[in-house]
Amino acid sequence: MMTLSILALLVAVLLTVNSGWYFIRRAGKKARRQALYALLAFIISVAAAAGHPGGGPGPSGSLQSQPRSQAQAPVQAPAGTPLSRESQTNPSPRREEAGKLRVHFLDVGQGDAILVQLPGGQNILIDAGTNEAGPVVVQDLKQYAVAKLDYVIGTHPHEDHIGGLDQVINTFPVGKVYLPRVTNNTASYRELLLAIKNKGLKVTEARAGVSIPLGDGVQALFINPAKKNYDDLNDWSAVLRLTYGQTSFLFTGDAGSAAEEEMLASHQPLRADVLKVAHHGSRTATGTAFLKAVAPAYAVISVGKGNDYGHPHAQTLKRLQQAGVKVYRTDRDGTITAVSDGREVIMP
Amino acid sequence: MRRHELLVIDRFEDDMAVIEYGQRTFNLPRSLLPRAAKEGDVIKLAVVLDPEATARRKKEVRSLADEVFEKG
Ligand SMILES: [Zn+2]
Repeated sequence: MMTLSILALLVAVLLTVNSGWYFIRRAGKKARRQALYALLAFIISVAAAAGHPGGGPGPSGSLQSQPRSQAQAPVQAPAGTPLSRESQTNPSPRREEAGKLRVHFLDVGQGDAILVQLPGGQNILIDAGTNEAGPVVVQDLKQYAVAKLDYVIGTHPHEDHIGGLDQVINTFPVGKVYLPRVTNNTASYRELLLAIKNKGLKVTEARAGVSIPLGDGVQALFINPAKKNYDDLNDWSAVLRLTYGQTSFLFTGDAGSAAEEEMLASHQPLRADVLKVAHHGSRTATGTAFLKAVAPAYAVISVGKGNDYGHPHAQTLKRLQQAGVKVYRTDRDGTITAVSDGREVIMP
Repeated sequence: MRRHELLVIDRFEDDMAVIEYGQRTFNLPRSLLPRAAKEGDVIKLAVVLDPEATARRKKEVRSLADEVFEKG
């Protein structure tokens, strides 16, 4: 027991030093929290060591487990530190409590833009609205304290999804870019490719079976496009299924019925707590069979107020309603933020 | 605005075609486009003034106005 206490003390000291260093570098909220955890671990381990010098059974057992699991908290430190690497090989259920995953469905009028903030601090952007919405997306990202976009996904080359993406890429440091292997002839798409090229980035093809290496207990897998060719660019949409602990999200872009059929036929897991409804709630997406397979509790429709296309379509809203899904809409609710602690998703 | 802005069909939304023109898009009813038009097609718009139809419409509206306005 004595050696255990000393060990805990050592860990605590290490943590304090580590988060102190991190505190100085970032001076962020997270670092402050970590410093607090480390301090707590330190105090408890000192108390344990002092209280039970002879060891033996007693409350020390439970006390020991306390700082141990608290010590899991700094897992949220950036990858690469010895601590986070160690704890990644040694996952604990407490980990998920410590970090939260946030998904912001940005209100960009008619179009899509979704920011996913991972528990470890990484950022994923899925689409960036129209050309016109570009500055709004840039502003929003700054508001959510995004310093870098680790992953940028353009679901498909339609202007209401990739229009603002060049502005975003020109503004923020970008890690990897994922696009489906299909082009459009618009200036919007050309400007996106030019922005990528001018930044010296390369595009990774988004297609069914490709996963994004995220770590932190978060998995992200593309489940569409699965075929080599589709008639409609919408069906080319990069569809991403993201899971964190027991919770999951499905981002569908504008995938239509042809893509839905393909996804259903592939027997990949589709279930999700939160469904980003495809194609702004158009009638040609979110079919009954697909909806049944996803079985979401919540659905988010990214749609512009009074748009010219009749989105979202009444039939689609009815299908969602009949499936007992709670529907959120950016035209009514503005930006919608879903928060997952790995066990459940909290909606606004 | 640059000199050689192309008009490109970005996509179709139900009965609307979304046309990209420079930094903006506008909608055209699909029925105004050739049947073969598809996503990514570059289009030309030829706008022709129709003086006869303009005169007919003007006459029609004026006579309707004469009917509904109180006589002065
Ligand atoms: Zn769209």
